[in-house]
Amino acid sequence: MKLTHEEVRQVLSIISESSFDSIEIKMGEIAISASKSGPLRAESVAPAPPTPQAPAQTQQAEPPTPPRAAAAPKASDVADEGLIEVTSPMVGVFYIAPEPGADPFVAKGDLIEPDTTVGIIEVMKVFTSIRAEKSGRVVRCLVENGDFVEFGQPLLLLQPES
Amino acid sequence: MALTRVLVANRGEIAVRIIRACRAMGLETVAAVSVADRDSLAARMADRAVCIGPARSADSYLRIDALLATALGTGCDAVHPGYGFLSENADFAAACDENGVTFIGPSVENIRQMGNKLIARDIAQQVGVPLAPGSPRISNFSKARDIAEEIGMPVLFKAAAGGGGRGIRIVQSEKDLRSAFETASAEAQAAFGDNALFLERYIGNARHVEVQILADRHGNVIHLGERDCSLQRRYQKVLEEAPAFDLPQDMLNGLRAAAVSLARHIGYQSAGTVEFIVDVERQDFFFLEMNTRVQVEHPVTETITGVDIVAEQLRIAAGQELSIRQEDVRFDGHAIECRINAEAPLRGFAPSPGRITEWTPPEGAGIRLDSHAHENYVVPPFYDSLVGKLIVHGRDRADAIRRTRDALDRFHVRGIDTTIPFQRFVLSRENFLAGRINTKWLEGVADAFAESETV
Repeated sequence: MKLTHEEVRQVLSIISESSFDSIEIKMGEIAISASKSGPLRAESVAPAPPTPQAPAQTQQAEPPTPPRAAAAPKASDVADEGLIEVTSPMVGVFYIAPEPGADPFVAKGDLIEPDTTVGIIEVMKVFTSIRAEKSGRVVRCLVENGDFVEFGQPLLLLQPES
Repeated sequence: MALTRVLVANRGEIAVRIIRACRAMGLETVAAVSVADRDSLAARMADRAVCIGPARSADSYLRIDALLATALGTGCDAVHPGYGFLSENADFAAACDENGVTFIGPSVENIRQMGNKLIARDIAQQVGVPLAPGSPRISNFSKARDIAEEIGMPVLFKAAAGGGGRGIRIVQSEKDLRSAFETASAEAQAAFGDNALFLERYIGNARHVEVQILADRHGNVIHLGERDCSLQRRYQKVLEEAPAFDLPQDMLNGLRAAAVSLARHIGYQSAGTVEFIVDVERQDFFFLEMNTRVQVEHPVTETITGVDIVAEQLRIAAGQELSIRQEDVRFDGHAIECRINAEAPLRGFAPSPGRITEWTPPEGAGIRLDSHAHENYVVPPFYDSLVGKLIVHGRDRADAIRRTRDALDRFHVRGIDTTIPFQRFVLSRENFLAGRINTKWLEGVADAFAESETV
């Protein structure tokens, strides 16, 4: 399936006349993201930590090169979209559901409150429920079930409800 | 049990030092960093950095669970604890063992044994290592009084569980004994959760001399000679030298033999340091304690022997034999290490965190700088103040002193206060040049420095 130039134009005009700031359309293999205030980030933006299997640097690291790890949440583009992040309060293994096979605590589109449980983090066999601490509609889940997460790593992107 | 990926469970210059050693041996590294160290040199140098918690070390570098979760979550097969933090924490080493992660250090049992000064004294005694006249565990005052009378004034109260100079009280006369006992006991309880004390004869004119040990898992135990660490302020070492100069050869032989036999007796496996007090007047030495980790001042030994102590730790942990035999250890010249701290020596050595706007270290043959600092680096206020160690190699002690002074003159740091001017002052004292130093000498020099600069 292909979109013609005209169809794209129609999509864009629908957005510009709508009250939405951004739109994402998916049909089969085709995905369109558009935004009034600027380009949306590409899909799969989850700041996955670099895999340890791929040691990158081999040169002596002096003078210092820009950090490419301990990914501090890159707030700028998130802020541009008016989105807010739910971040991990600890290092550990993140689980999206209360038990294997169960429905995830939260899914894209859910409206969540500060005391909503968004997942469980396991640290050395100790399981801690993670609360959102923020409210809004879930735009994107950034980590997969069983991912190792760092302290401060973004878990969810929320669109604040006005 | 080859190692492939090492978690560096520390920060600052020692994290950088460990990452360098790992890289040289082809090992991957994961730096565990707090929020305050996300952009640190160690985080940039490591193959990967993982933020383990907030800046406060109790919430990050001291969290056994977070560090182990990180080691397991990133596929590390070993953990290097550096010095300080969890490096001598037997529970951490045990947790590593239980989870199949190699703790780069000695056994859990050795850490426990040497971590308790009374047990360590008992073991030293069994091996025939000389102990300062002292007491077993004391828990009430009347017993303390009896023993103090027997040893003779002055005496020293020490916390059984202590270390790093905490929980120590000097008592000069009988009448101060009770209050010293009570405060030392309270301090021990507060600092270590154990109020047990012991008494030792106080040696006024003492030097702090320590022997570097390396022991592998194949029964090889060697020493790399001694260091003099007498220059201390508030029980914190300020300047260290290797070798320990002006000691008779028979004493050196005795110190080395004592350290090796202690390590051998407990089945020690890793790098370790056996510390002694040398009574300058009586030309005697006494066992102080054993540190079961890499020491801050290990580079002076590396400089005069050419042995990479951190690399040997990694070899030992991987089950390999030491790369050097005792008969091949050579001592070449003299090395001095100056600790460069972010402190204001003219304001009572107050911590001086902040942004470094200029960092121009000296360079040249025989000069080594172990540091995580650089221009625009912000020294965080959460940790110890060490920002670098300047290590200088000379033909002999006089040559090393001259070269160190020259190197310090060319070391320019702006933005924060450092102990560089104080180190320069120390190195110009006549008593230092003459080697007339002891463990109390530096306190007086610090006062003299404050006066000389304010006039």
